[in-house]
Amino acid sequence: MGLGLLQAGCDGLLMGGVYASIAVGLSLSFGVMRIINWAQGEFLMVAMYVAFLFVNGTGWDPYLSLFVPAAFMGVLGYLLQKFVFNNMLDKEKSREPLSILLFTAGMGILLVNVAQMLFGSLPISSITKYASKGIHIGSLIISLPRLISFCIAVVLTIALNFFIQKTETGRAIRATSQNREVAQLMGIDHKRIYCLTFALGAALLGASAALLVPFYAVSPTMGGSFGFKSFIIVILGGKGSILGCLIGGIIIGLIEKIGGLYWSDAYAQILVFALFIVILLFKPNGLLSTDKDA
Amino acid sequence: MKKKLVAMLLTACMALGLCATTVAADEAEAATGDPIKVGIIAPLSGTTALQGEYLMNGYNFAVKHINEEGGINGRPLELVVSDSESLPEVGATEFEKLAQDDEIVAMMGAYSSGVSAVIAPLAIKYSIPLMVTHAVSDACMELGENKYVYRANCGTVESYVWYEKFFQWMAERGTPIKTIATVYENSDYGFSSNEMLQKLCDESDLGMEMVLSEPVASDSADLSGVINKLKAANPDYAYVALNGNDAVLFARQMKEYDCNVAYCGAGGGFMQVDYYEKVGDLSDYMMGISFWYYDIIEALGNPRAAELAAEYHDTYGYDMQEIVVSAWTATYVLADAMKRAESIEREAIADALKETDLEDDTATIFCPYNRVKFGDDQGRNNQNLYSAMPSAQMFSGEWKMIYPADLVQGENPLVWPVPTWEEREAQ
Repeated sequence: MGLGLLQAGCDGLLMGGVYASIAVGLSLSFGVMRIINWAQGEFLMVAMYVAFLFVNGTGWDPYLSLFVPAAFMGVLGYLLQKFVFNNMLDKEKSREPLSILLFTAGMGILLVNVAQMLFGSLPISSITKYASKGIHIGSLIISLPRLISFCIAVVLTIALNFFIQKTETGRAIRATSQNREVAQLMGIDHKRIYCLTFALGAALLGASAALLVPFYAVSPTMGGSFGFKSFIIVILGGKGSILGCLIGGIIIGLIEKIGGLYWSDAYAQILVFALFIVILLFKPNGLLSTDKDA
Repeated sequence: MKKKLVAMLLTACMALGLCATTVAADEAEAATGDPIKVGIIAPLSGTTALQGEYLMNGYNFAVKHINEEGGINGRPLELVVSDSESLPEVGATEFEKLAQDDEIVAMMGAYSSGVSAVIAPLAIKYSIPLMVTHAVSDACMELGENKYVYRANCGTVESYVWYEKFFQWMAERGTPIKTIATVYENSDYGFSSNEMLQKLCDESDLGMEMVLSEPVASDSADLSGVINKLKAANPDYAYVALNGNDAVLFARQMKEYDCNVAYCGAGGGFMQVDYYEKVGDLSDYMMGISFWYYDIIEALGNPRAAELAAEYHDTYGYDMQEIVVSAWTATYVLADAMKRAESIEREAIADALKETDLEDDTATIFCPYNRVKFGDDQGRNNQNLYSAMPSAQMFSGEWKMIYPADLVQGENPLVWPVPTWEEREAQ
């Protein structure tokens, strides 16, 4: 059983890293703009179609082509924030931006249906040279595509964290997140910061979509389960915290796999949601939060 | 000399006769009269939209041919289609809507077991004939004596019976299957399949043991957990019922995790027309048990079936598959009943359906036993008594039949035990 546990732990860790990079964008927009993007899963779906069309069309390596969906989503995110969300935020200055939540929920449904119209409901996947390769370490087997995806996801997530913590722009983003009015007084153009933040999160989401290509298929309805998991990860890790996302993602991955080992894959999902409720009740600002901002 | 003359005369007569039938066939004109409306409940959207597409292709393809052959005594068939959205409650509402339209004289549908189970009782309530199409669960047929609900394809009982026969045959050929496992999506279909195999372990004389029974959430991003459990349990044979991308993921991860358990790819995912494109040789040696395989066309040796299959491929861009065949059979069986019915009215069509006995007919051209006759069987009313579920194995993307013997062409292609991944790499 020891080996089984080790194997499940490895699988959970690898999957969790990818979950984390998908959730980062949600966490950032939540933390900085108070925007709840209900269509995060559907954004992932769109990014995956872009990634697949590119990889299947050009025959490029999915990992090398990750900048394509990243750039696409980054630009899309920037435009969406600049022309739609910023206006909506202006109108709802005094309260939580509820209309954006409703807007993104509607947009999610729209995206699913448009994708169904354009691509049909047949799942699209591609055969890459990484598919079905496993690295054997004794009796332990590590899936090669998942290992590569995990490494890239973690590197990108940490790089983004570095950017936010150490650069001037990053500081501006943090300042805006902590207090918009004061940040404005310090000469920070908060609208530009909002656009940049949303674009960064969307770009990372686009890159994550490319990381899924070697082992996952895209279909119009695939976003749902990823979207929900992203919310749980953000709640778990604390909104706005990138490292929190990483930890949250890995925790979800581990629960799924280790829970699946002792129970079953289908029922391990129950554990994930049970944890979500427990966290909301006892640590609503996330595992990494200090109580001062409660 | 006299004999020779008689023989020549006979040959001449036969030749003339043949000419006559050819002329007759050519003369069959396309139907032009008042259309006869048939209602369809199909999943055009939702989780089984893809299967809904196959189902509609099958209905449309059959209707096109029926109408070209002269329709129902000169009147063409017309389909009135409603979307079930893959949901039983929507399917039920849509069924009621169509059933209340007096112009619609019969219904067909609905692919999934869940939707079929709720519309079948409604067919009896509204006294409208219903050809259940493709649904496997027997719930829709266990409605007591009635003349409205019919099914030409197999049910869970047939799955049980044909699995039992297959396992018995495996034992007889000296390769008994002693331990089995099930991996299934947590849906109606998955659970009923798992129950069926559990019953086979508990109640048959096969002496099999179920060593693992694993439900899986659909649209999984990772099946490594269940595959590692399967590897640890190491059964002789695994039954894997998965849909959509999960079936693709399963094949890929079986190799990734070096799991060498022989498995039966049951369920929609493994039967997708582009499955082989997606997984390639990973699908080699996969076992199958189903209503229909492309291989059956050759096994039955009917040139008309081969022609139709080729035409289907040209029209839709991919090969026929089991859902298409279910729809074809249902439509032709219904058309046959309409031709025999005293009038084109619900009651008369229902009466005619009850008397259905088709053999070697365009309707049954794709059925493994080339026959449709409805009767009572194990609590199910109006079930086709000649439905069957042959077993097959996949080689380079093609299913080759391995059981029953009368459908196997030439030497039995079965490769058992299934080679390990290491052995396959070495080949």
